[in-house]
This record gives sequence, C-alpha cells and structure tokens, in this order.
Amino acid sequence: MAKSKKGPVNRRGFLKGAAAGAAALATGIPPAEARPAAPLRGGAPLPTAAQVAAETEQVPLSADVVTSGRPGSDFMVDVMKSMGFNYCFSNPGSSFRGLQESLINHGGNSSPEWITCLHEEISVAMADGYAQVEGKPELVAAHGTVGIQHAAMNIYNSFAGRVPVYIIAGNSLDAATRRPGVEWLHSVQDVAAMSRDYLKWDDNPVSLPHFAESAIRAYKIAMTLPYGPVLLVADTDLQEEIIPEGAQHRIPRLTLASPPQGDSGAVEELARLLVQAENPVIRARRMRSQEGMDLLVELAETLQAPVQGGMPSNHPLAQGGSLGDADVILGLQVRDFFGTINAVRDQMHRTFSSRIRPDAKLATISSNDLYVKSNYQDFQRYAEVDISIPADPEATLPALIEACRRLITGDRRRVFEERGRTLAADKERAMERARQEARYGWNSSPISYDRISAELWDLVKDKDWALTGGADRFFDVTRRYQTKEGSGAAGVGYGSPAAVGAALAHRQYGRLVINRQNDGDLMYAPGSLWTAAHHEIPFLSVMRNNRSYHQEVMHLQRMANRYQRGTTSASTFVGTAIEDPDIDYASLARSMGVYGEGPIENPNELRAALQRAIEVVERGEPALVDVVTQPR
Amino acid sequence: MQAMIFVLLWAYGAQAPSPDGVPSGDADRGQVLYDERGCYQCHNHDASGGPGPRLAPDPTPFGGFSRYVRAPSGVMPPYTVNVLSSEELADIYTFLLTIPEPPPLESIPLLNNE
Repeated sequence: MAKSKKGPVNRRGFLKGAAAGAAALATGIPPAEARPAAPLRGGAPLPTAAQVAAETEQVPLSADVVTSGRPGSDFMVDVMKSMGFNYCFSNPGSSFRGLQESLINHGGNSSPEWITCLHEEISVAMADGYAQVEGKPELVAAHGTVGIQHAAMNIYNSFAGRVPVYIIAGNSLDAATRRPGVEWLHSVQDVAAMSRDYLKWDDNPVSLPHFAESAIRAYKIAMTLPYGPVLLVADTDLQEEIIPEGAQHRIPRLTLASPPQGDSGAVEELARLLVQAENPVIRARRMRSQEGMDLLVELAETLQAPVQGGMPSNHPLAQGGSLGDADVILGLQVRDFFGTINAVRDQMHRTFSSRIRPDAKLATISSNDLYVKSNYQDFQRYAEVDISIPADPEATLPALIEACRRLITGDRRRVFEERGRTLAADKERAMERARQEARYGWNSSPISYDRISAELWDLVKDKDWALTGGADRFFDVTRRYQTKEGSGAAGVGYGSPAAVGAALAHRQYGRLVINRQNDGDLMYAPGSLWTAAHHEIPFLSVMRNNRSYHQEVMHLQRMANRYQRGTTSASTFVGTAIEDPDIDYASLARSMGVYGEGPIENPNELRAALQRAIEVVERGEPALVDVVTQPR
Repeated sequence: MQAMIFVLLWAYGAQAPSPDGVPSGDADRGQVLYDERGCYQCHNHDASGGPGPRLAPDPTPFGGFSRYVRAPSGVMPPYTVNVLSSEELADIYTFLLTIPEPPPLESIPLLNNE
C-alpha cells in the first residue's frame, strides 16, 4: 500500500540540513546557506542558498510520486455521511488536513458542512447547543493535542450536561512518518487521555475497517442514555493512506439503543405513592423531546400535581407546590436530588438542613444512575430515596401514567380536582406577584432583568421564537424547543458559542432565536460571533452586561465579611470587575460583521434598540444589543 | 418599651433612633455605602432585589433589619461592626427609606399583557 508520506527521504538534503543545523547550534551563527541573501532594495528577501538547492536539485524518482487516488479520509467521510451528520464544527488543523480536504472535495462540503470556528472550545459548545435543540450529535474536528486541550472545558460541560457531541481528533501516532517540528509537537501517544474522565467513550483505530466500526459504535454510545460526548481518533496515516483500487471497506449498520424503561414493579409502587399522596411535588429536568414534555403534562394533569421544571411555563400546574409540605417528592432526571431536598448554609461552619418533611417519601427516575464515573464529581452528593428507578423518565412515563390511572378511585379523583383548583389559583397569584415585583426597578438604570424580559416578550410573543437558555420570567414557554439548558458543568465560555450552535439548529425552522448573554462568558469566546456572521446564522444576543464576574464579586464579599475585613468598591473589584475600560460589546460585534447596538443604559431606549435588532435578525443576520444591567 | 428598643439598637451598634424609631443617617452617604459595602451585589443597585430579597421601598423595621445584617440566619454574609459601623448602617437604612414606590401596575402596559 503506497503512502505518499512514506516516500524515500531526500537523504542528501536531509543530511545537509542536519549538518547546517548542527553548525548553527555549535556557533550560534546561522550557516551561510541558511542565511537569507541580502534583499534587493525595497524588495522581498531573496531565497537562501538552501532554499534554492531544495527547489532545483535532482531527487530520486520514487519521491516524485506525489499524487494519489482515493485516500482513507474519503472513506472516513463516507462513514460520517452514513450517520447523518449535518455539520462539522472545526478550527482547521494539520493533523486532520486529509479529513478536511475529503470533507470538502469528496463530501462536497455538505452533510456534514464545515462550520469555521475560531477556537476548539467554540466548536464543542456549538455542537452542544445544536444537539440540545435537535437531540442528535454533530461533528467536531480538532487536533488531538492542542485542539482537545482547547476544547476540554466544553467537553466537560457536555459530559456533565449529558449532551451528545461527536469529536474527531487528528493525530500522528507513527513516529517514523511524522514531519520534524510541529507534527511532533502535535502528536500524542493517547489522544483521549487528557479528557477521558469526561468522555463517555473513545477509541484510537489502527485501520479503516476499525475506524468504521468504532465510528458507528461511538455514535451509538453517544446516543445511548444518558447521552454524552465521544471521541474518535483519525490517525494521519489512516487519513492519508491510499485505498487500493477495487478495495471495499464496509460501514456497519447503525442501530440506536432504545431508551431504558423503568422496572414495572418499581413503577407500580411509585404510582401507588403518587396516587395516595396528599401533597405530591414533581421536580423535572427539561425533557429530551416534545413527547416527553407532553407526557409530563399528562402525568401532572392525571394527578393534578405540581411540577417544578420541564412544563409549559403558564400551565396551572407548573412551578407550584411546596417541597416543605410535600409528602411525596418525585425527581425526574434531576441532577442534584440531594441539593433539591436539602439546604446548605455557606457560612463559617457549613451546615446542611433538610427542606422536607421527615416522613416524606422520595423517588427518582433518572438515566444518570446508569452511568457514573469517579474522578470528576459531577454526580453530586448521594441522595437517600425510597424508590430509585434507573431509567429514562420519558420512556417510563407512559407506564407510570397508566399505573396511576388504574389506581385512581372516584374519591381520589375528587381530591385531585380540588388540589388542581388550589394549585391553579396559586399559579394565578404567583403570576400576579411576578408582575407586581417587576414594577420595582422598572425604570432603573442599570436596567433590570425583568424590564428586559417584559420588553422582549412583547416584541416576540406573536413570532415563532426560541431561547438559548432556560425559561425567562415573562416568556410563555409552550414548546420544548423554546428553551435549552445551560452549560452542564457551569464552565464559563459556553454561552455564546452554544447559542450560535442552537441558532444554527433553529435556522432551518425559521425561528427567532434569543440569547441572553453574560459579559464575562462572551469574552471567553467572542469569536463565536464571527462564526455566526460568516455562516449567516441569525440570532439576537441581548447582553446582560453587569461589567463583572458577578458570582465572584459575591464570593469575595462573603470571604471578606467572614474574616471581618469587609470590602470597599476598590477591593471588591480586584480581579472581578470587567471595567476601566468598559468593553464596547456593540463595537466588538460590529468588528466581526454582527449588527451591534449599545451600550443601552436608559430603559426607555431599550425597546427601540431591541426592535431594530430583531428586524436585522429577521433578515437572516445575527445581532447583538449590549444592555447594561443590574447585577442579577 | 422605647428604652428597650434603644438598648437593643445600641447593642447592635445603631445610632440613637429618631422619635419614630428610625435611626438618623445620611441618605446620600448611605447610597454610596450601599454600593461600596456590597449590598447591591445581592439586592441590586436600586434595592429591588436579585439573589437576595427586595429591601425597599418600605424596608423592614430597623431593629430586625439591623439584627439580620449583623448576624444573618440565612446565607447572607454577616456584616459585623468591624465591617460596617453603626453610623454606616444607619446611613444605608436612611438611604433605603428614600427609595420611592414604583409606578403602579396599571401604568405599565407591558405588565398588563396576558
């Protein structure tokens, strides 16, 4: 099998270069042939003698074979196409140059289409944001060394958030074929080692059939609940080796695993608890599909029970109930159930106290129980519960709803109806309270979050909109796609690129995408704005610009007060303020081809600015409005 | 009773109250201190509330306010007299008293949309 990289080395040239290098090392003075000739006046430097020799001297005939037929990377692209990837988010790198070329010329830069990213952390977050909307992974291509190092934080975000992301990492394992210099620096024995603790699976294929099988397996694993990021190495030799004429490599068939449903006995027991409960409360994470959201509504209405999270926001049973009064608490895919039912007091002596009744029965349904790693502590504190169902809530809800229905008697139904009326009235009061509370600070400068929310809602309520984060106070969320979760591991530098990825997913549906953008987060990955402009990904980014890493401001205050040293404005802002100079985010956006407005400090100027930006977005372009806000 | 309130306030380091039980302070200085000492971090610059509760208008009576600031039972960082003097606390409270009522709900059409 011919390998263009493995052609005979021009030994004479190599030795001459080595001797010259050794001479330079010994004397500190570049040898004559390595030194550039004196440039012509006003012109470019002339080539060195060594460069001239390299261009003109005779080379062995075998080294003249510099073109070839079908490379392995073409087959790799075929494999990728078989899995239905739409996009490849990537910052280019030589360790996957073959794959990139094949993707463009063999694959036609379509399905997957290359999305140019300006940092690997951006690439992964964009894939994460896309996956959260579409429920499927997209490709990320990166250097196996420096690229994965850049990407690491957002890989961890995807891991902790249980989001499927599919990473291809270029690497040159065979030391005998590496180009001297950078290729050695960009090669590693074990690509995934640095991020294996927060990868669901990885492999390092040594042949094209091995690549195909592992590629399909990786997709299946990423999409088996709980979802997660996977990494597959594409070795440069495999990418650039020539597939012999007539050789056929097989691509295995992809069959996704069905979601795990809860044990029928445990589901029946849980149904009995829920039906008998006087004050049940259900805590739910955002469901993984619209069907899941519909099932959650069905469960809530069957029991007339309050559901905190995952529901249409204005549903009478959404966000109500009290954990402190609950006799049964059910957590659906809740990431931190211990933290849900306990309060921690972050004072000098850290104390935990229960938020719930001592006789409350606790149950969880979560696929997270099916997959836990050791090193990174994203699994949270152990929660003691009465029923633990390691399964997908969405797959289990039909059986749970049916079991509940079988157990509901006429008496219980009357109790449920009365409870439902009470909860609906509570919901009305809560919404009225929210409106009343929004009055405070309505005309304040810096501008309040509630003012932004109310102004935005009024402008988009009759459109097909989607947020790139959780529900907003005045937004009436009715569909699952209208919200998205944040960074899985609370790593900063996720928000903006994930919003661009989500906006790309929404683009095909023509939705108006709104991103609430924190200033600190944007400055980790401002290049994500350029990607949005370059690839014409429309979305509105509304800055929540509090000119600080405000969470850290509060932590610093806590420490200073604990030790009775206190703070002043000057001391609080050491290391936490993003001001002096204030960053002009509108100009930053404009510099990368994104429409920018602001800073908006007067609340009465907010609506018009948002309106203008929305018009830009509706023309198919990204826009950013910098709003100077209250801290929170 | 008034004597008892006085003793309580003195014990927590507040200035002598005015006849209506509110310590006399400097609202302008209080506004500066409110930001400088970090109250705004959780309650926002306008005291309308954020991670922490709304403080104004109509702040909680000074006695309870002072007790909580000095030794909070919740997650708020404690502000002892070493961090915030009695005079400063009185100034901040006086500033909170100056924060006006918000506009009525009926005057804000956006908050009346269903």
